[in-house]
Amino acid sequence: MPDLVTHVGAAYLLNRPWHWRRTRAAFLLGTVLPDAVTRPFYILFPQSYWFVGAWHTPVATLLFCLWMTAWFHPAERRTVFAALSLGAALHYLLDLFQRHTLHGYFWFFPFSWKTTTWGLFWPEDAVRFAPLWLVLVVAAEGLVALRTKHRAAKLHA
Amino acid sequence: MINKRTAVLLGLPVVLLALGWYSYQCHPYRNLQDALRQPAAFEGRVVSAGAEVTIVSVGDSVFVVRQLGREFRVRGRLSGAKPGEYVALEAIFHGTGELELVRGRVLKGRRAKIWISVLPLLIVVALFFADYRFDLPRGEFVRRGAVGRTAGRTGRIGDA
Repeated sequence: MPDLVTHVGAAYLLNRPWHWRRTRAAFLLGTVLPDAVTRPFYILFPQSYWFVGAWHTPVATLLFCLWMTAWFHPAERRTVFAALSLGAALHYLLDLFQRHTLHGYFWFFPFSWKTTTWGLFWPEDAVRFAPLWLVLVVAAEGLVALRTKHRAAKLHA
Repeated sequence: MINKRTAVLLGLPVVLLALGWYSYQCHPYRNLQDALRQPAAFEGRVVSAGAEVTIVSVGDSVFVVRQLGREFRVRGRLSGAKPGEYVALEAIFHGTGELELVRGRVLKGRRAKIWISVLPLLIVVALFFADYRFDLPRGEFVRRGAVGRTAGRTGRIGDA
């Protein structure tokens, strides 16, 4: 996996121009979900690697999204589920680009142990670009603020 | 009578735990921990070690790694190996507890990656609670400011 700055930065920039306020929380939550439910466990308890590793797969993530959606108000559930799933899909898209030393991700788990990757960069390489994501996010927020200010000024004129 | 929501909330964790158990029991990759449980059966076989393995010391043609508090001598050279770095490797297992490197890679920057991943996680959680609050009596998250109806495109009531 690339680091979470990369995942969240990419999700932020993709989500920002659209229904930002309505979907941002669930979309960003979806994009960190596959790592949030696995990494802390196997970093702290390496024995659990193959147990929690099952949750860093599309099928398990979809089940997590369904489970999380059930915690929301019924009127919100459809939007929340869509945002969570799309956020997670973006996560996996970025993961697909990375190389692996041992085995890759099990995209078809539990039906197959077959792994595939496009192998463009090592997981740790993305860390070097973390500051770039921060600059892009700040620049995007700056642009939005400028546009809002410009609109407000126009309305007052 | 159990409703659909309760079934999802109680049933899916069971399914997820079952998936975890299946993965733990049936994965096709043999690792160092498997070999340590049955040293005789794994003699001369290739095993992987990638979960939180760190380098302890580096010699001329041997280095020592640590996993789960146990140290292993690995015969072979690994470019960029330095004490304290994370490493992922495939090696031939010998019952004596020694390994013979087949291939491996120093995971340079992994520690930084772990630490810089904490901040975005906290930001996402903060943004989530900025948008939602937990309604305890109903047992569900509701959008802040929404009373019995959903917010609109911008997330603010009245903007829909």
